This record gives sequence, structure tokens and C-alpha cells, in this order.
Amino acid sequence: MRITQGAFSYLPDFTDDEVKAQVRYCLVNGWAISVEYTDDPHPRNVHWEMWGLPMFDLTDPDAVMGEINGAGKFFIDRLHNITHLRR
Amino acid sequence: MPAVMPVASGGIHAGQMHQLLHYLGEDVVLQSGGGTIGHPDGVAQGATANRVAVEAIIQARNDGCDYLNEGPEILASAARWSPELRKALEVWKDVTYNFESTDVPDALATLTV
Repeated sequence: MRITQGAFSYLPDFTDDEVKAQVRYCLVNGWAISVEYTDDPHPRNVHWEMWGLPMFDLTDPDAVMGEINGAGKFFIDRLHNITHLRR
Repeated sequence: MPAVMPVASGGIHAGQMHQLLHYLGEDVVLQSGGGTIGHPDGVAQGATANRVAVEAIIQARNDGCDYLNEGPEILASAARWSPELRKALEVWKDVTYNFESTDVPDALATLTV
């Protein structure tokens, strides 16, 4: 499902390298990064769930990528399980 | 002085996005009226063209590109997969606003008695 809210939502899906470049830009600016997810990406749903802990002290983009891909894998696996159960 | 928010309004369009972000920064309101509803395919397509343009330029800036000088190429590159932006760039390609500043004193000194 494509959603058009938030930064970069009008661009084609980023590759891992493109995501990492943006993560690096955030870290260079001294911003803390957290990974969030939701099953209700509604424009007025501002309360997304947090994946793990906020990464206040992080300086390495690769660690953020690990968290993002870990979250992605978790939900893809869960989706497959649900699809399997419904059959 | 408290912080203020710059607002660009009047005659702006997607093809100037690199200049708008360079001169005004990212904390900015871009009020693109004619540059949105004037899109030949419709208002939604005009809005999409502006969003694609701003996101493409911001991505390039964050990646460390010289986005002011490479702006036209960055936008042209995004226009290859975005028909909305492609048409916006085509429609407004010749529209520029290189005016001299009008923000100068124009009052004539008059003699006081």
C-alpha cells in the first residue's frame, strides 16, 4: 500500500543505500532517530507504535538500518503467517 | 527579534524549487497557487508535481549534492518517472522572476519649514 504522507512519500521507494544516506544526514545534524510503525497510516493518526527503543546515542547509520530491516522482516513474517492461517 | 517564517508567494512553480530552497531555507511556506491549479492535467497533478519537486531537491541536498547548480538536472531526472512534474516543468519552463528589488525608499525629501 502506498501512502502519500510524511517525508519523501512522493518519491519512488528508496533503496537501502538511499535510506542510509538520509539517516546519515539526520545523524550529522545531531538528530535522534527512532523507528515507528503502524497498521493505520491515516493522516490524523499521529500515534504510531515505536519499534524498540529510541536511539538517542546512536552515531552509526548501519545500526539504524539494522533496526529498520529488523522491523520490516518481523512484519513481513507476521503477514505471511496471517495469510497462511487464513487459507 | 523572534524567529519569522519566510513565505514565497506569487509566480512560483516546481521548476524553481532548488532556488526557493536555497534562498529561503527549508523552514518555509511555499504558496504555489497558479503553479498548482494551472497544471494542465488538474489541481491534484499540480500538487503532486510540487511535492515531487520539493522532495527530490531535499533528497539531493541531504545527499550532499550541489543542488542549487544541479537543480535543473535533479528535477529533470525526477520528471523522467513523474509525468506530473514533467508536464509542470514543460508548462512553466520559461517563467522566471528576476526583478530588481522594489523594497527601496521611494519618498522624496521635502523641505521642512
